[in-house]
Amino acid sequence: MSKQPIQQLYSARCGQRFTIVKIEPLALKALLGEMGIQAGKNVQVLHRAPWNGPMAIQCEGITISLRKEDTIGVEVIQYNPG
Amino acid sequence: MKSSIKIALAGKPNSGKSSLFNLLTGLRQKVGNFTGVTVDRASGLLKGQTDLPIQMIDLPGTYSLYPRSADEQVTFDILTEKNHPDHPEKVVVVADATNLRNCLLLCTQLIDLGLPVVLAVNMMDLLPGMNLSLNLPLLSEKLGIPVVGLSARKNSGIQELKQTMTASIPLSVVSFLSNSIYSEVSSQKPPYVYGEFLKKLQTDLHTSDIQISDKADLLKIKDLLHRYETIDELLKTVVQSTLVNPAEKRNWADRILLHPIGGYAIFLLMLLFIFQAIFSWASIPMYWIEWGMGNVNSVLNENIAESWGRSLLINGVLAGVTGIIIFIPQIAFLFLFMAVLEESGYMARVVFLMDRLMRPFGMNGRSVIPLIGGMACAIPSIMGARTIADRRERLVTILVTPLMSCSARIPVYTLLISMVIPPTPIFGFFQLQGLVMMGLYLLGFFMALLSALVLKSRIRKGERSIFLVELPAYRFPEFRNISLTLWHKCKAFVWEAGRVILVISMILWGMVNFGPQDEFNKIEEHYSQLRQLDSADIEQLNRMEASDKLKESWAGKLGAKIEPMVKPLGFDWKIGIGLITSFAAREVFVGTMATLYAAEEDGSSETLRERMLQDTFSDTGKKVYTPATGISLILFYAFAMQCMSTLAITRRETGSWKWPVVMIIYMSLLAYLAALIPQLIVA
Repeated sequence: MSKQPIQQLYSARCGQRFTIVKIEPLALKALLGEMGIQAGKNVQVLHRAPWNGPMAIQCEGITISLRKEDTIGVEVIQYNPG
Repeated sequence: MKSSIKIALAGKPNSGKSSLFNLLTGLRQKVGNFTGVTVDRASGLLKGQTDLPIQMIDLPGTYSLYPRSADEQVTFDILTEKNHPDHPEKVVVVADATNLRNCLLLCTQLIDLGLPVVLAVNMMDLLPGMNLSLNLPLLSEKLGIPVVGLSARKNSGIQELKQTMTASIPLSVVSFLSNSIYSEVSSQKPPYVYGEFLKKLQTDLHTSDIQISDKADLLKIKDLLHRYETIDELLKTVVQSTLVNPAEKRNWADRILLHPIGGYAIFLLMLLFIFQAIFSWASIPMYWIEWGMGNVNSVLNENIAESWGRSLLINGVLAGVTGIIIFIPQIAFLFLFMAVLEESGYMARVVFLMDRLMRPFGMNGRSVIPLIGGMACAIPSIMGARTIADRRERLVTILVTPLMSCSARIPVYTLLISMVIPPTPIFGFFQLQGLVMMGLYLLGFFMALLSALVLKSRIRKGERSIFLVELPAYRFPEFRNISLTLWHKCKAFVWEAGRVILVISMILWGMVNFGPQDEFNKIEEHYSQLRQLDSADIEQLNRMEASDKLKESWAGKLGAKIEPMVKPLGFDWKIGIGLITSFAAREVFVGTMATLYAAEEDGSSETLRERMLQDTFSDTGKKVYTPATGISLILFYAFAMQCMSTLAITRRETGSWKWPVVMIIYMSLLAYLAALIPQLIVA
């Protein structure tokens, strides 16, 4: 895999697709793990509520909504098919 | 029913679990509480089962056996504790065919627990539309358990499920455990017991020792990821997909409904529509109820000889019952809409849209649902706050919900507004009375937000919790589910609020009709003399006698006691009594006033209104109902905690007397201060 710059899911724009690199802290990792969302999976940011409200992301066929600041520890890289 | 077999339905939220439960049990279900916790426990006998009764239990929805909320903890306890009274003999895991991956997590955990499991793959009918197909026999083979495909909506596959789950179910020989994880937490030798592992982790996760809880978290993550790895491997062969983009259709709807501007506009329109329904449509069945109860009243009046027993029956019991069922239409309408929104998947979007707006007030997006519900009745709404995982956010929501203008305030507002607010047209289109009514709703809402702001800083924050809501696929609501939900909600209201209202209504009757005997005798003597006079207007004398008796009754004496307290607000002893009787339910105020002013209750509110307006203070001779006093009273009703049932339910939901006490203190203070303002302005 070519070196991609690591970004935070926190600042991602709507419609963008990413691959998860790392999820922190442990509590979030466990919570997302329950949904089957973990490092290596692809996510797409679908919606963002205004004024820094929650974001809706899609991963592995489900859509979940998370508060923006809870996703500070989620590191992603640009999705690269193939 | 100790001899019956128990089969539990488990599954993640939105998997159609309750839908299947309704189909399997029909109307033969009971909704109560699980022992010791206030989580709804729905159970019922399996339909069409003659030889051996089978009890179905609908377990609260959960993603896994790693509970996060009170609901999920119940599911965990029932499934892992062999001695739990609800521990089932068999478990049916309900899965969503369109999203099998998440549903299999719980399934593998239950298999490892060593329970006989059947996997019911629901919503099979949706697969062709999504270009998906599932190889269920292969899935069954890989999991080592029976798998049944069905559609609760289309009522297909149900018979097969019944046959499978009533037959004996072999335990799976497949294991989804990773032994390496397991040996880290327990010193036991293989074979390992997954239930013990989970319980140990559960205790460790909630210890204050960060090292222990972090280690438990790591093990939990390992366990989860190992399971998903296995599931993903397994699904590769089971799911055949010719799918390009599975969520294309949903995105289209969400693009509109979650639009940063349009989404809010649609939500607002929906609220207006619901209001319209509650206020104008519900008035039709309410009129029927009034008419029907009026008839019952006159039938009883005519057929029973005058006695205190009749009086208790009519003015105590019947008045109480009417006071309860008159609200059913409004409450039913509101909960009908909420059930439809919930079933369709839209409610999760409301939570998403509103979270940011509610957070500054110490609440979260989920708080919107109880707050809207509070406009019908605070009681079921406070119960609805259970879905809020965060301790502080839940408490704040519960504490401010009674400030929303519930339907019991409407009769009081209507009477008082008609007395002190002139029907002046505004802009030729609106009318002042109507605007004041609407203003009171907004006032309640803004005061709820303001109070939340203050309460937020006073309540200790619990364990940090992450706000995570799944936005489920939109589904057309099923009539069966909606009607059953509605039925249970209305029943809960009638039962929870009804019994309190009924008891207080009867106590009130006693206080109003009895007093010190010698004083009552004196009054009776006085009036029997007056009746002898030629010019006597008997009806008028009867009314005056009733009114005088009331003044001397226990209720009247109590009113006199509290008059000094409410005097600064411009209230007299009659209003004082009304405030006390309102504790049964706020609308009892109107009936109390009718008794106090000896006006006929049946519809002639005109007389009551006029008599109230002409009333004067006995010492100063000034009018009681000046505009300022009227407004004070309206404001008092807007904010005061005058509902025993709400306090009782708050006690039950929070598990302590502390919060109902906080509720009554802060709301009383608020009401008193607000009612003082108009008086100060006039003075």
